[in-house]
Amino acid sequence: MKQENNIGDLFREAFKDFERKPSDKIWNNIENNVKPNPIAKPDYFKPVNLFIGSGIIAVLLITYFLSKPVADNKSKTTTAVAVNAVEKTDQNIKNIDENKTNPSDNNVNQTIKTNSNTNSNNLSQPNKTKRININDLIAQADTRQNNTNETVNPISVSSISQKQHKNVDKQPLANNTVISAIKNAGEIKFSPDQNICKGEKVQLSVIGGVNFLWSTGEISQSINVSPAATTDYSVAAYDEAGNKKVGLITVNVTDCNKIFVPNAFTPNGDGESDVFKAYGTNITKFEIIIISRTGQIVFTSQNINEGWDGTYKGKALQEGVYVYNIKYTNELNKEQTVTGHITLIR
Amino acid sequence: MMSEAEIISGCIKGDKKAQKALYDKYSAKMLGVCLRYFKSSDEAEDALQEGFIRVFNNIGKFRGDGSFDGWIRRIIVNTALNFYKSNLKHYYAADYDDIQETTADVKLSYDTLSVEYLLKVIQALPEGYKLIFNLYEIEGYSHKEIGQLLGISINTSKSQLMKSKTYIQKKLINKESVI
Repeated sequence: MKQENNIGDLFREAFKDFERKPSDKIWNNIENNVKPNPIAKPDYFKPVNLFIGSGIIAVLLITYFLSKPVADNKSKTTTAVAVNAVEKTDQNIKNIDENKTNPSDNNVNQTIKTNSNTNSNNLSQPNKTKRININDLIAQADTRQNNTNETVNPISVSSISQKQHKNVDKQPLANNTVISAIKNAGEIKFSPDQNICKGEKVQLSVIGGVNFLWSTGEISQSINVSPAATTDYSVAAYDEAGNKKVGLITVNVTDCNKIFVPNAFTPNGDGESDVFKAYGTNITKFEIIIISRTGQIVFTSQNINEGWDGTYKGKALQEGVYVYNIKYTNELNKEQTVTGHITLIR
Repeated sequence: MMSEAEIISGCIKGDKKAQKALYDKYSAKMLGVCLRYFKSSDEAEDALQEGFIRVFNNIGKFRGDGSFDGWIRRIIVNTALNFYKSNLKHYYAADYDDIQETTADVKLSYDTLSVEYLLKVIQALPEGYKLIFNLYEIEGYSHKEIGQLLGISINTSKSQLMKSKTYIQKKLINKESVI
């Protein structure tokens, strides 16, 4: 074992001051590729903006949760087994109505929790055989749910929350840690909604929690999805005490405009394909670099409408293949890179 | 000679002179890092170039809460890793059942081993070993960080490190020709 550590030490020591001068062309390439004005620290990192930003996100999230689960429940209860569930949904709608008239932060959160539980009950239906411990957890959550719903006409939401706390008390799992457990479930966070171009892949994940059940049937902390159209994904996440929090993540899919680059051009002055340029719409940032076979940069531009006429420093270049590298920002503000080659024919 | 603070603030403004100064100061050291990740120095220079472009384009995001040297190094290492990303899957056939303890008790005359020779040993490592050995032993990343960076489990990282060391040890003992 000592031997092995020695190997690590040996290499670490040997490479501590190891240097090698790069060849000169590297700096030229770098110089030509650095944007003229590097992105300074974006404004939204400033504390004030961050505060406002998180406020906006919070409001959006709350609005989203208030509207979404109700809609989902309504549609799903028709297929889901239980009459019971319909009652729950009604109950939830009532709760929400009450919250709307009295929307203090705590109450809203409480409703979210209540809604979430119902929602993931439905969600769990197709995956009954998947994993026993998850089913156990769901069963527990169900019990809690039913208990909560015994309050036929809750006078205020705070009474529900008290009731719920009491019920949690009875749960064997959560015995002495009622408050901290609930706090933990509350600390679970989900990926924000995602915007992607059609055909792209995106990772959705849960931050915190120990068990997960996604609407796709997966039970990992994060999943990779590549939907063809805008899709809602829901996930039930459980903390160690079995408390559940449900997240809904919408993946908006846009049919992004791709850039079109021809593969040959003929700069001979006949009016046909005399310049080489890329075509695309809704491109915000654009940068093209064309390199000759010897590695010489023969053309650069940051304007998509500017074309290359096959010359370098006023001289017409010889026929042959040239390589281009295009970086552009599409309508989703994502940077895309296209590389390829173009044949110059005279 | 510009001070580090002058270089950084100059680079944030996009000043070419500051950029060149930064490049001159760090490029040789960083190429030394890159070389350990690739078989050929061409590939290493490609990664270096890409890495420095990222450094310049993102220098506004340097928060100054760690050393600048470390920040650049991290970007360079990440860039080098990105070169592997698309192929990573093939490098780890997670077979951490067959970890073998090394029993060899051979005294190596380490002093006689030159950096150039050690570099060749590293460069000739299988890719998975190379990444993990570099990251853990030389860069000083933890297994947890490596797991996250490469998308592998902590155990895989540990077992691959173990194997890479065994592998290197054999190479060193036999002083095999490594190219």
